[in-house]
Amino acid sequence: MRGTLTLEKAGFPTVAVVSTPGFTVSAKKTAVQFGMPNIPIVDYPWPGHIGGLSEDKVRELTDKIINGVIDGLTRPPAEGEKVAEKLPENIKVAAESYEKALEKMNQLFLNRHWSDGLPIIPPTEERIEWMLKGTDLQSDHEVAILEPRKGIATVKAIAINAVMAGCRPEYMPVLVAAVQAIADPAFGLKGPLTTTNAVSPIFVVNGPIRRQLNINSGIGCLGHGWRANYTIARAMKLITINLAGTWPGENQMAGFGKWNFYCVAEYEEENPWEPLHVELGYDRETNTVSVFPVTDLHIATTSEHEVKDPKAAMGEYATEGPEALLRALADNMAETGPLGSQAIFWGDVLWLLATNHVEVLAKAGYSKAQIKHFLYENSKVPFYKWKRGTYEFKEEDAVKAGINVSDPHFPCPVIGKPEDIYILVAGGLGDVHSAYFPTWAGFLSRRVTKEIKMPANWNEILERGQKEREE
Amino acid sequence: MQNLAVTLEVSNPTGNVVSAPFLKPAPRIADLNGKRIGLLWNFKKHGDLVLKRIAEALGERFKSLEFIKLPSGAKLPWGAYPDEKTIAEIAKNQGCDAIIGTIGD
Repeated sequence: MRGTLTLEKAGFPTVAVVSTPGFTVSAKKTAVQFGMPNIPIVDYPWPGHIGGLSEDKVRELTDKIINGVIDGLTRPPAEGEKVAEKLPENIKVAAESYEKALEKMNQLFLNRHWSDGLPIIPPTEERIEWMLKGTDLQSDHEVAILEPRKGIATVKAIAINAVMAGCRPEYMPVLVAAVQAIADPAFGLKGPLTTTNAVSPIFVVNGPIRRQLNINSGIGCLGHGWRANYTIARAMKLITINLAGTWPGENQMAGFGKWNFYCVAEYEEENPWEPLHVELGYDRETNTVSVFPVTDLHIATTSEHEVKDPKAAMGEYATEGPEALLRALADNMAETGPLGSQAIFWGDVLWLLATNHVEVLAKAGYSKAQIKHFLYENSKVPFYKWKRGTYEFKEEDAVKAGINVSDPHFPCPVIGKPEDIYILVAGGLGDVHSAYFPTWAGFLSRRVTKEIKMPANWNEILERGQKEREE
Repeated sequence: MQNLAVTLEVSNPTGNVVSAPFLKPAPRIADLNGKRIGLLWNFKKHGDLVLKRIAEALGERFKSLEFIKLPSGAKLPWGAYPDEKTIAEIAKNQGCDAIIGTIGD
């Protein structure tokens, strides 16, 4: 939509043909945000994706919109649509009891698309002030502007959503850095939030703050049980709903929705190599948060790490030992594919390697770089599989990427380069299940890492938090 | 009459937005005959077929209409993911009078 809006702004009369239902609301919202609420938009007369239709059917349906296209180019658009009224900053919810007021407030927030469907903690003035004690930044300090809505993420706006999510004040520095990360142009927030693909961000925390806030990196680290993991992820989801302004079916078009935002700490203590933030050039004692635009996790389970049979096959047919482990992980990447679609748009992928797998590989002398190269080379798939797993395959893109399209068995990479594979450590001790997060479209969104700036009174914030939890 | 004994006062979580100034749409074309129309394909499947049929149908109704496949951006081919930063200049250099674009998935 931005392409046609840019052209309209430059003085070209344009018509935008919306070829997928549901995208009309998104297109109109984009037009309003652009300052052009009444640009002509023509709906295509088909209730789903048109990618599967025959050419004849496309012709037949297109004929039905020709008059609309002509009108869009020749008739002055109707006077501007009414822009939505600005809702008040504070809302009063009255009821016979606290419990009923709470229920009423939750329903109101959901009706207004201000909630994720789970009960929220009421963002009262008292709770917001409490949350703001977790930072030394001024409440009106603008941290970022969040696309697509261009919502202004002030410290206070972040704190409001943090209260709703159930965060503690000491999580605020992580949240501020996480908001900076998603707002970074390299992350391209609008893309991951509005794509039809199932992309959800995963936030990885490094540095001493992990232990200070009890952000889990061990057993259960992607599941429930740890307030920091769950509520930081939830706050970020609420921020993408409320400040970035996205809602399923309106402008968040993922067919299965954004089912999970994860927040996890890297298990640095069990990492024999350098942890992520050190690999990226930060000091070990610096706190960082990294956001990855990934599709959801796949589990690679393998445990035959010992070579028991001296005659056991090695190389491509390895079934025992560290090489077999690496090949199993590579097989997992190959089966998952670039993301099941859009090969060529390779982006950043993430492995949370199981502690058992890490131990085996480190003991066998593998470095991280060697693992990355091995996985890159051995996760390639034959062209015929690569092509059929690719949505919107274009031969010229494949040829440009060095793929021999006349050879059905030509080995095609599922990753752009080895350095796009991020190897971290997490999970239970001795675990044999590694977690793999495939990527989305690397040309639109990439991993971003931000330093977590610590408040000057951080120790005081931590002590207050400790005392409150003990009360 | 209900006894509304409890009032929760809570904050709107959506904050403010960077407001865009209202922009007037470009003037429309009174007569499409003899015009040059840029076709902007957003690289999504069958968007090119939609544009192809629109061009055919308009060509049947209007004389001397010219259609050009508008490159998606500087150094990009037609049908690549559009680069909004360079597209207006390309449309100008190509002599477009109007644009038809596809949106969606």
